[in-house]
Amino acid sequence: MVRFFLLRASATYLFLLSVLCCVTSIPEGFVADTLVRIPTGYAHIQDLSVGDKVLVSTFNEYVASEAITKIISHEIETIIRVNVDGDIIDMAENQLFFVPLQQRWVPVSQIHEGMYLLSAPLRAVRVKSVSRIEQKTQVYAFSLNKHHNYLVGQHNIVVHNFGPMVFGAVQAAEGITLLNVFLAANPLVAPVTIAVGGAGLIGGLIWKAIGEIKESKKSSKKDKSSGGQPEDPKKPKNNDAEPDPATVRAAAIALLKAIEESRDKAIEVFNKTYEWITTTENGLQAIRHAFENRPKHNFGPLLTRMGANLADKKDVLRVGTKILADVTQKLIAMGSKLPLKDDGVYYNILVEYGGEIITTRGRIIDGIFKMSTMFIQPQHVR
Amino acid sequence: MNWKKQVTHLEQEGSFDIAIFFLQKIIAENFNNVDAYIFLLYRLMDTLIEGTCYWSNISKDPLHVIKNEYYESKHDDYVKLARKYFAESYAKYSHNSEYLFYVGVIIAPDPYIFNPKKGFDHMDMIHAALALNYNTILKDEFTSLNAYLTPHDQADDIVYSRKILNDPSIQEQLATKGAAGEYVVGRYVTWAKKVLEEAGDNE
Repeated sequence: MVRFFLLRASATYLFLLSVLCCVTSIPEGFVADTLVRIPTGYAHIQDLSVGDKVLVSTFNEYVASEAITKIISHEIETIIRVNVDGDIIDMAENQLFFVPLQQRWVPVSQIHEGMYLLSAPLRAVRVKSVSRIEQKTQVYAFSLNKHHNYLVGQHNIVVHNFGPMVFGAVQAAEGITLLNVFLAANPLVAPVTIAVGGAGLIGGLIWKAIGEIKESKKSSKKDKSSGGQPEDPKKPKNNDAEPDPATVRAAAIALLKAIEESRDKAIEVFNKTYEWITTTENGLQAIRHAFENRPKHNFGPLLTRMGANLADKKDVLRVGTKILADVTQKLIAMGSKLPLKDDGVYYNILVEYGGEIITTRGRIIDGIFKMSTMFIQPQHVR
Repeated sequence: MNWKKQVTHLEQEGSFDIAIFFLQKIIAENFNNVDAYIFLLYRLMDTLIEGTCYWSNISKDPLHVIKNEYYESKHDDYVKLARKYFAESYAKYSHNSEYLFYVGVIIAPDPYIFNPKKGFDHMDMIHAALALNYNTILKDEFTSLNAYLTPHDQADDIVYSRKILNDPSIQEQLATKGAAGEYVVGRYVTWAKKVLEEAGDNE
């Protein structure tokens, strides 16, 4: 409760501070060809118009869409170039980014190499470099009435819209909840929480968009190779040697050690695993296996406490996704204390979560924690 | 009693090792029995992945602790069997839509157990089966990444549930594929019944 009020007070303070700061918020904006996330994919910022819908962060595991209310464009004399995990984004020097570790909006002029920026829905992406280019150019920005942020670049980086600075969803102060951010995955880092607003969210747009992109890539690949006919399934490649189990285990152990020694590595592994869970068909199958009509896995009471309607399959899978991501975070945080069998298997590991003890097993392979199953034993049901 | 009923009987009493032995025998006697391969691969996946869950959460056997330990001690042997029978059956049935769909779903919890080679993706098996028009009614369940994240629409759910319950192929699979059928399509039938029950739909 104390934490709740502290966060709430902190959010209010930041809000007041940001209102005072807003007078200095010009110039901001991005150069013409900057990618902005829209419900169906991406658009260049210069091509957007009032009324067009863009995706926005709701500062939790969802994204929403919102229509642009105002567009501005002006000339700047200095471009700030940020390399965010390989994606180059050019902008004006007062453009604001959300920095999860500081829980606040930070102007790009204060962003430096090694910092983490919030990427929607809930990931951190590392800044590789920041540079200044003295060059006159036109930049574009826009305003949104509700969420006051949008997503730019290939990593869906959360940026502030044009207008007074607003902390996250502080205007929806009622129902503020606490969410762990994946940075807590690393034992070297204190757990980070973000205060966020609650209801009325449209979920799944990013996943949908990615799904559509993958689907279209898949069908275009089929079209080229077989004249529109479905390809034969890939046969097991007999010329591929089976990996040596000891080598696979050694690689997994090395990864755990690297996680323990480096916060960057922990975040990279979590991000990769989170992406696997939420954007691949294999990850979807893992969630379905653990939570879809599996009464013997005993997740009913936990799912109910977390707000899932057990009669609603979609609800169960949605909350199950959060449980899987959170449990994976705890496994990553164990670092080299996580016992491994051959082939990188973690076997019947007990993880305390939501007042329950969850038994989980899976495999660390290709730098990802791939869950095979999760269940709660009867003696562990609260 | 036919072999499928015998396997079901062995599974129900928790005699998984005998069921595995028996299914190997069925395959040895008839190499072209696709159902026997499906039953065996399901049995191996379930024993390897869900073994502890069964012995701790389902079994009423007073010896469940030692039996769980017994099956854990057989882990490596069962992995070898899983690889052997997967490779053998895939070589025979890589164009059989029923096999591709069932085994693609069965091995999903840990495909590496069955085929650790780089470049193998069990989802290719499911896509190939769907392309061959097998269980297309379930397509979204396996390929639509956002299916469970989009807003809930009860009317759509009811229509979909009716389709599942009235699909003759789904009913046939439940009747002939034993525990594998229950795992692969049974969960959707259960959900469909629940949706219609909640909605008070009696059609």
